[in-house]
Amino acid sequence: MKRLISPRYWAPVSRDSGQAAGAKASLYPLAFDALRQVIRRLSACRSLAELLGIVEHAAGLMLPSIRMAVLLRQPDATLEMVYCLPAAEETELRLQFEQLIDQGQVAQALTQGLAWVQPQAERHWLLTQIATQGRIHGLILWGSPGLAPPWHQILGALADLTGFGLEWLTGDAQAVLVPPATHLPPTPAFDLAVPTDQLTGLAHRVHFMRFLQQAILDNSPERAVALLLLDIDGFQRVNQELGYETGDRLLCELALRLDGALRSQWVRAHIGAMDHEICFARTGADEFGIAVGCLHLSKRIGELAAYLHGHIAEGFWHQDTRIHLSVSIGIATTNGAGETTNAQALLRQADTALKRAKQSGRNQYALYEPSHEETATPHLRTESLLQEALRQDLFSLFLQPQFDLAI
Amino acid sequence: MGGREPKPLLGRLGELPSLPAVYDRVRAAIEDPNSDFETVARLIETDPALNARVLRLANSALYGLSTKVERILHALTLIGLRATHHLVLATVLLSQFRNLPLGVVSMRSFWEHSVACGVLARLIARRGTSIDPDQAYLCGLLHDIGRLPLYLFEPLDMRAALQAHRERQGHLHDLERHYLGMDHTEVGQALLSQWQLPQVLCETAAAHHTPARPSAYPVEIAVVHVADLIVNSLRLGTSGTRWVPRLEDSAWVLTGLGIEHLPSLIETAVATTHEVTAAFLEG
Repeated sequence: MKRLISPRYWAPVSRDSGQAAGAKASLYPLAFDALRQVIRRLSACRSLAELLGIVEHAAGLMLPSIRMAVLLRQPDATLEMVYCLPAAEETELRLQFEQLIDQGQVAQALTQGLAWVQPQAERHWLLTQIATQGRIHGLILWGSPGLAPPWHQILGALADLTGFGLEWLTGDAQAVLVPPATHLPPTPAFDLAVPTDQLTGLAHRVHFMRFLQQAILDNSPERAVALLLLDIDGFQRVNQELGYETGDRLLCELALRLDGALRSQWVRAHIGAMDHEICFARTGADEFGIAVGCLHLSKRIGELAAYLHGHIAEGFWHQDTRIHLSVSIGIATTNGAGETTNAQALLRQADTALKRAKQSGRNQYALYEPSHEETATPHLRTESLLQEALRQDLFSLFLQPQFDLAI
Repeated sequence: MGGREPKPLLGRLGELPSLPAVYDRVRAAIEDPNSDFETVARLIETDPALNARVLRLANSALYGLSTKVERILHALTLIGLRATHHLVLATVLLSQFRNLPLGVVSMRSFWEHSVACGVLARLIARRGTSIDPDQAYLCGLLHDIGRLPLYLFEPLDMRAALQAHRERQGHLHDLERHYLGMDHTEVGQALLSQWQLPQVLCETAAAHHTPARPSAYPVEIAVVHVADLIVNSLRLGTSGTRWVPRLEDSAWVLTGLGIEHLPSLIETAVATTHEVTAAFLEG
């Protein structure tokens, strides 16, 4: 997050804003909680739908009967509605927005950051800009009975967070192009997303590494970041014997199954990591990575590996036969044996541990220890020396006859 | 939402493992006015695995008995015939299915969700309503049973539905209808009536996402609806749902719960769920 929140929200609430002190007192704790929740989840967001879902959830927490429409600026500077809540009221929300354009309130919101709308039929409307320091991304139209100051501050902050989220997702794109559609699906059918693996829907390696690096940077001394690398043992055989289609299906089922298992009360209680602190990604053809930021109970990370194994144990169906996949898991943590502050280094350590797990019989997990490195290097060295010897024809053949004297 | 032709799946329910004969015998003995506790106990004891699991569950926090029971007959006298019937049904069902790979959801997650929903439904029923807590437990345990055939017989469509659900394209039960032309509530109802289980179980499975619909068992349905939402928010296991469905206000009112009851209910539910899940799935 590189930019500051737009200065219009720096100003403190003016005392004469016409609100009873009691109303504020009850409003703010909840609002802060809702906003903090959005902030916490922002960096784990993988798509526009998810981002808007989080914003909608936070708004719904504070104002249960809220109506909301999100309009994003198109490359040709027009505004296109990409999301509305509830989906059934799309037509009304569109009409409402058309009226606001005619009344000049949209223009006002775009120039001044927000615009209050005259209440209509018990519902009060507010337009807030989705903007970051350098760019206006669009507008959010909020509607709820009794919507009045100081709600513009809270909903404005939500809109700002939406802006940050959009920049996080789009990188440096100037605008988000929405494909023309006659009717809006319940959630955007088009979507912008951080790189996602096509097959499994998990995060892509690029996003994974970014998440891991960020988690390491944000880490505090009493907590740790952990990295688990999962590799399906002998997956080539699945592809060769059952075909690539089955291989893909199994990968996908494994991914979804583990994803469900990772987002569970068990993980929260045993590892002390919340949903948004976990990134599950496909990091290779048959390799998955799990990054856990903010790990409270790093000593128990081994239990997580055992727990994941427990979810694979029953195997998978393939044409009335049960296929058992064995999965080796390598684990490295930032406060483990080889302390590290860099995503690449942590990845290397987890990879070393993974090799160790494979060597010690597969379908197991291994924690990284620096001594693994020493045993790993000579292997490569010996292999290279042998290669070199082959090239230079340094081998010679000796005959040593052996006889079995027992007969 | 549009969708495909729904019907073939219901015709395939017969391919699922049926309830084992021991359950039919126990049920017949319990329903027979001439039989006694000893007959029922002997029947259960003929199946060593069932015997062991029923004893373990009878001793779990679910029933909160003050003494440790070591014989089925003892358990029967303490928890009663009706509760024993439910206990045996739950046990045989889980034993029958606990080892079946579902693909995108692990059996452990699936049953943990079901057990948690049952446990919480039992607690809610006891706390705020006058319905039979043991029956509420069974209703909760079986509410998502319709997902089993969906995962087993339509793995590709269910995978697509689950992926769409993860991307927040809708509630999983709506997406099931979109991809398959039917959802797990309909399948669950069909499966439970095929097993000739009591009507209340079929109705709660059918209506736990639509509790406002008129029914003969509004309180049972409301209790399971609320328990399902809470368990989904706690992420105690999962039957596939990632994003919690919406709470129906009328159902909340019917459960007689207040917000202040939730912390202690949840604490008890989490602890009991772990114990009961372990009793079902281990060993």
